[in-house]
Amino acid sequence: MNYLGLSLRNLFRRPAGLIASALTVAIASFVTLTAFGLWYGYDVALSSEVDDIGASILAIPKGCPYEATGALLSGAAIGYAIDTDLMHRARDVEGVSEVSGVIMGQRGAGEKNKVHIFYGVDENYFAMRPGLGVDLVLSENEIALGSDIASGMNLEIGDSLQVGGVEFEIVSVLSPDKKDDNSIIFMNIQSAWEILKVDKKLSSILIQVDNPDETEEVAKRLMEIPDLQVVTMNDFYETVQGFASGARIAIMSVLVVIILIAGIGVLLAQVSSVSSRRGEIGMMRSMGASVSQMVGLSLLDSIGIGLIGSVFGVALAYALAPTMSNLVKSGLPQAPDGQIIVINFVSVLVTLAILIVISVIANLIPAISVAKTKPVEAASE
Amino acid sequence: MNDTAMRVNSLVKTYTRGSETIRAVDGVSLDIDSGEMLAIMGRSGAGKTSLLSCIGLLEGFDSGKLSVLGHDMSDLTEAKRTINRRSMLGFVFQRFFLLPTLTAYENVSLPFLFSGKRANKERVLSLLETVGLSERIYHKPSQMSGGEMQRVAIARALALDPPIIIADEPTGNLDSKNADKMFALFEDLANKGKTIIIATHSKSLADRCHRVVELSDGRKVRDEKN
Repeated sequence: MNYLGLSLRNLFRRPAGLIASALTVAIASFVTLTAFGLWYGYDVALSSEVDDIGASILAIPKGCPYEATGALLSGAAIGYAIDTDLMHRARDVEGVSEVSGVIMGQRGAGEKNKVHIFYGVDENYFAMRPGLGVDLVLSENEIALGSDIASGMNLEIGDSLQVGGVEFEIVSVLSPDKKDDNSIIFMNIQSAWEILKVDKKLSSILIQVDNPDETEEVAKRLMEIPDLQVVTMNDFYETVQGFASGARIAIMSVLVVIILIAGIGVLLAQVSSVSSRRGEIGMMRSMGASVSQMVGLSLLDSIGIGLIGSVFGVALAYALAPTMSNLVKSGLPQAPDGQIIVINFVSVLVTLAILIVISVIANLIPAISVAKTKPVEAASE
Repeated sequence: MNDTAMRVNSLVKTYTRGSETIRAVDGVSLDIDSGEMLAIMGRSGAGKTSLLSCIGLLEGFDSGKLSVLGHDMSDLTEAKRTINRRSMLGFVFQRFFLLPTLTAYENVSLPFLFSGKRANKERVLSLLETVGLSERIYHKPSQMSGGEMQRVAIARALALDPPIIIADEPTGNLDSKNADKMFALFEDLANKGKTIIIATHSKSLADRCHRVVELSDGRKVRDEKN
């Protein structure tokens, strides 16, 4: 028999009390870890999405820059009001290493002639976006398909597909994990101009810089080009992050309340346990247990409740992370693709530490009560 | 019976209830020899439990002197009382206070845990055999009768081999047959040199002790050898 064994036996002596108090801790642990997971996962997902766009700066037509950038990130289409001449001017700006022009449109495709978004891209596009895994330059009459379209139409490489009345050969199909791009048809920019019946127009320009540390300076130089609106990925990242801050504050507020409730749960369980065991505690004191030994046992009890509850809550948060991720995403504008609640080891450790500390703090009053229990209480009961 | 196990001199213990001060122990003096079996009698509220609590170092007292096994125990801090209690005294109460989740063996081992000593398995088994429970080692309190639980409590009191056993109404929750068995155990312990101090209401059991002290209103009103 040791202190830990004694404490565990005592905890499981009142299963209903243990379940009730551990449950409050579990709920607090679940919410804490989910909040941390959102904090971390949202940033990771957003960074990954921004990185995936393959540019440090986006040049877009005049208008709401973040709406346009968000549309680009999520695979939607925007108008085409940028002259290709502006792209050439952007390429000549000091600090710019590479540019790629994109025109976006929508036309019927396939046998059912269902409307799909297509991107007309130049020869630099796939080289600037290696994440797409398309290691080629599209020539006229060649297309690369997003996997959703390919699977939806039961198409594969080598098949042909009519888009906007023009016949194309499928030369590449994107991997299914490229979710934002999987409902897009990529084609040569000349083909896109022909389908859209426009000439030398672009929807956006992807711009890479020589030195990422000088992105802001390069963006300022690009802004001097008339009719071009410039958004750095950092600006966009911070703006979209701002959308999530409201949700984060709401979750943190709920978190504080839930942690308080968990603390009260532990407090009540321990007060009840101590008050019903005064004689027993007195007996242990009479057989030579010191005040510190009894307070230590009481603290072990509260750590036990904290640990059992928080481990259960962590498991629950881990299991429900995908569901919670979808739930939170449904309420967030411009939420990045993929799982935005990601549970990592550090946040698990921090959550366990917080809940155990809360349990110990909640046990202070019962511990004082234990410390005040005199050995004579065994005799007087 | 030779050395003095306990010397109590003009001991006073008061309690305050509201504005009223109650002298629960009012100037009691007595010497208790080693190996003596002493019964403390008196009606409810006479001061038996208060006297036992003071001489058992369960709590302090207001005035007077107390020495246990030759050591002065007056004016001790709670921490020092705990240390002395651990090494000198064993307790048996009317309520057994066995931990319900522990087996008989584990309950008897508890004092070792609090004294920081490794539980001596042979000693625990031998104590359970002494109290006639060698067949009940792995039984929990819920699986034992009242008499058996009280015998586990006695074994627990003896775990660290204290020279003095203090028992407060140890037969209060037992039938006469079990009470008789337990008294026989105390007699056996006294014969082996332990000092036994028992508070009891039972005259027949008190008559089996070497000596009877009677209290009334906190004062010693009788002190006779049997």
